[in-house]
Amino acid sequence: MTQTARNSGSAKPKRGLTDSQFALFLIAPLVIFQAALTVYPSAVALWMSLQKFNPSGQVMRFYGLGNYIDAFSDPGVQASTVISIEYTATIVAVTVLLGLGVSLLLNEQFRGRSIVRVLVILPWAIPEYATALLYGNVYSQTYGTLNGLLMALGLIKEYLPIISIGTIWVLALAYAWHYAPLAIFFFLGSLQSVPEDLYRQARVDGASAFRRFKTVTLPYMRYALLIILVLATTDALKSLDLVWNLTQGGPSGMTRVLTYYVYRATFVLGNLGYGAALSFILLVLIIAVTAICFIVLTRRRR
Amino acid sequence: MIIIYVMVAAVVVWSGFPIYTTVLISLMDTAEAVLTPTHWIPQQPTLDWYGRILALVPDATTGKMLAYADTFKAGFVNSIAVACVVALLSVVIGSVAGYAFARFSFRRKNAWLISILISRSLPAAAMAIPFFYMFHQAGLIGTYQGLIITYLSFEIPLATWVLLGYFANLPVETERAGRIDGLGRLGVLFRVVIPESIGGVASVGILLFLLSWSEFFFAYILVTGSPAQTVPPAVSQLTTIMAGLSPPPELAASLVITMIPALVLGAIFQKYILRLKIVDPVVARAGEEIPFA
Amino acid sequence: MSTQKKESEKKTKNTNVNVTRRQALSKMGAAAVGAAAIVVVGGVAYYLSTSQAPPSPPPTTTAAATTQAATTQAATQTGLTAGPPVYFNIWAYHPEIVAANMQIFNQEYGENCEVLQVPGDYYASLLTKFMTGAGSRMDMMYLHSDYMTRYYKAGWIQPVNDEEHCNEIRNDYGNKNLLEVLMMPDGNQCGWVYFNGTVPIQYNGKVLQKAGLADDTGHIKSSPKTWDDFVQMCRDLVKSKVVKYAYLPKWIQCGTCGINEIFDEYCISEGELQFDPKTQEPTLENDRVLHILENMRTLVAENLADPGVLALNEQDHITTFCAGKHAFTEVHDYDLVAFNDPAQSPDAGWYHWLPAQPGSKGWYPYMGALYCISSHEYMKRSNNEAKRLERLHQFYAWKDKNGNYVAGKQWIQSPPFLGQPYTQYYDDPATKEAWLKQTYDEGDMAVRRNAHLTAVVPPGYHGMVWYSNWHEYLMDILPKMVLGEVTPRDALTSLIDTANSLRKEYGGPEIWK
Repeated sequence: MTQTARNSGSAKPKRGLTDSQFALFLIAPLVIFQAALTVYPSAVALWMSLQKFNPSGQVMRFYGLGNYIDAFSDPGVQASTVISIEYTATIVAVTVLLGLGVSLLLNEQFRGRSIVRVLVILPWAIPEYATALLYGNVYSQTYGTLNGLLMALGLIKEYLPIISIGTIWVLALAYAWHYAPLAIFFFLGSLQSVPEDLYRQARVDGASAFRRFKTVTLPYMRYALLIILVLATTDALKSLDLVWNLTQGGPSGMTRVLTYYVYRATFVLGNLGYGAALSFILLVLIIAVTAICFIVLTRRRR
Repeated sequence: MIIIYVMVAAVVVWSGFPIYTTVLISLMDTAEAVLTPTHWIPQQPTLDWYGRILALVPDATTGKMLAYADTFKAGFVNSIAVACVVALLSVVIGSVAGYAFARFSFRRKNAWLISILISRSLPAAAMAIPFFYMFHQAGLIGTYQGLIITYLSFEIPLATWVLLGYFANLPVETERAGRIDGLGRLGVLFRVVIPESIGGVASVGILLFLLSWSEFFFAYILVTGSPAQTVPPAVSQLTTIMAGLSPPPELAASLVITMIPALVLGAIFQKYILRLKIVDPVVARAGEEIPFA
Repeated sequence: MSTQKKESEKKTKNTNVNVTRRQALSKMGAAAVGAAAIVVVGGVAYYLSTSQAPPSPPPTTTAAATTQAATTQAATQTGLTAGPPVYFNIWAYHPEIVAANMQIFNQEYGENCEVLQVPGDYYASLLTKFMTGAGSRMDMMYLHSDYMTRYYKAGWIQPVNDEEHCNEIRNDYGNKNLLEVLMMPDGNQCGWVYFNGTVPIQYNGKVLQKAGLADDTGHIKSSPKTWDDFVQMCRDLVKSKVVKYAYLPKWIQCGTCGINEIFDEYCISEGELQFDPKTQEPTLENDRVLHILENMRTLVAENLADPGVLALNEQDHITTFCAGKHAFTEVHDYDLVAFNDPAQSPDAGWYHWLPAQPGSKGWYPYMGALYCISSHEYMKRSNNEAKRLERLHQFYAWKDKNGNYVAGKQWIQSPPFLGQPYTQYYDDPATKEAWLKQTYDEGDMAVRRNAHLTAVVPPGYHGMVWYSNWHEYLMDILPKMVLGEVTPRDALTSLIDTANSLRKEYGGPEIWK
């Protein structure tokens, strides 16, 4: 960002404020909100995580790092972490693959393309909790339309309990349905930046479609791919609304992702200190993933 | 070429199927909705559910208006109010701060940038607990102010982050020209930069509106059952019998109605909103330009 | 070449700048209009939402206004002086009924009490409100018995032993078993029943009739006496191919009303109360409970019960049973309304209650919620305020000023038909009329009255502050057993171990000393 070099803090001020003081003045409201709404609650949560609470929400005693130690040896946490990983991995995979496929498709010319492009974006506009409730109607073992479709296609004889069978995987599909349009749009943007000449050249050279994709298209899409990876991973890890509204952690905890586990520990079991500690662990995990992706992205210069 | 149309059809089905499902169920009575195999076109279609939710038609069993109709209408109004206020405030604070990050350097700038990035990444599950406690001390549970403050906590950083990327990508010449013409630094911001980027700023506003409109978890924790209840908890409660028995078509009709603003806004502004993601500073810093679709 | 390019670039840039500055004003104008529009829209919406009366309950505010004149008159009549409003905290279940009752109360006593819907997650909100103490407007509230236990232990709940008429009310209870749930280990009773109900088995008479197990009116010919009989009946149903799964057990995804509650039901029907009331130690280690677990597993292993139910939520469960693809389920008593509603169920009119619970004792388990009031001491109430609150408490829990049963009427005589602790409600002709009109036939009504009189308190509320945590863990352990991932024997061990470790962590009867 070379644009900022001009406004370094050593510029001579016309009135009282230097450039950097002016900047600080500009970000003051942001800072105030940050301090009040991020820093302070985090401090409160930190304090809470060091106490042991009884089910009445009262502090029983100071517990030091006990909650954190309990978290690491808690089989429930381990199970939820695995489920979260399965959930996130599926979402990212489906999002990327679907995004690639559909964007390639939308890059072709065909009648009604602009309408299709609007249609394809729609799932992204639907809130996550609404996605869960929509899919409740789709996956239902009593009246679900997915069952209806499979039956109409002659694939099943009677309705299946889709959520019981598919657990976290079908939930991930629902989330990916909601999330993929973002990838589609991103990839489409990259695709349209590829110069047409390169394709012509490759065709002249006799390259197959697959080879053309690999040598011409893919390099231009690398950034979009990486960005989608970052966004999809962090958003999937943070996701709570979908699980909350569709399965509430699912049959016997089979869809209990880590975020839901935190919610349950705090609001259902009333173990406030433990919930707060888990929140921090989850927070650190997400920040770590974001930071890693961020670093990887900014290192890769073309 | 046929292959392309087939694939397009598949994509359209994939995208539209859950939406079609819900619209379908909202037009049937439960007795028909539970029949298998599915009636793809309702054989006894009815608009009664919409009528009941919008308080136009009384409930068949009790003869009175659905109590949920009040909740739903109030939720709608509340959601719009909260979303507007949050979007407006976030855009104002975020554009000012974003401009500062984009054009100036100052002490601990990177620290602030990172703290914004962190605020943006906070999962709701983690922040709910301390917020809940804090707001109870302050008597803010079940109030508009409480919910608005909560949303501001992650939407201001988000607005700052996106607008920072947006401003960073604007050519600096116009601002220089403004300075040359004698505008002060604030003047440059308000008379040159903002008008020029009004499209981006408005897009951020719409994005934040949609974000607040869709937010479920904090709304559930903070305002369920209170006069300030927004749409997400109101609709979500239909899966329990806390609000009384609510058959699938009632939930489906509610969903259709609540999806409409999101879909309309999304359809109109999708290009602009999704474009914003592209100028995310993460991308800008990587130094790669991705042209718009 | 490059310098020329730069020159022309500069030129265009300069013109751009000029154009931009001129356009800036118009753009600013457009921006101002746009911002103003947003502000106007937002402001109007905000104004509308804040000036709107809360969705429910509206009648309360009018009640306060209209009874101003009556206050002084009534106060001298009852000897209590007026004061600031007393607040009844409720969850959002038919708040209009609560509000209507409040209006009656305010008129009768010249009071200005108010209903307050608790925002957010009910118990999370309540907890934090309690911690604020006096001024939190936590006067009267709904509670479930396990929360009553915890909050009483924390010193927040007022025992009712000193309330006027306490013994009269206890006498009036049609089912003395209900009083057990209200008792704490230190001998104090901490609330009154808001509603009580049972979780009986209900059946689809049409399905049974097709299989030859019910007569042509849809009433079951021979009700299963033991759970083994029940399992055998399920086998017969499945063999007859009338349905794929005979039983849709209510083992749903609901923390308080899922497989854990139904496990309670099975236990109670065999006379097993799970915990020793004095020592709070689990008494589950016996053959009865093992057999219950084994039956649960058998039902799924032999494909008699629908395992998909583990993923359903409350509403789904009711919709599914309405679809007519199963013969048996258990639900809260009032859900029969949905099954016999033609708009919801293709087999409407064919659904009935089993005349008796299977099991050696055959008792019905009680479930419901309570009216509790907060501690006078903790909330720093004067004697006058305390008496006003107790008067409100007894209005909802018992009779009105004229000695009539009033507050419970709407609950039991209109959907949702919640059960009440007083037999008079069941014998009231108005109740019978309402029930017959909606959903019950004479036989079902008799069964329901019998259930009211014999319901037994579910286990574990005897001063166990950690009971609901244990109950929540059942949601993890039992489904795994039912699906065969864990043997019934191991599941039982797990239940007992979990109970013991919770007891160790949070304290047993010694914390009541």
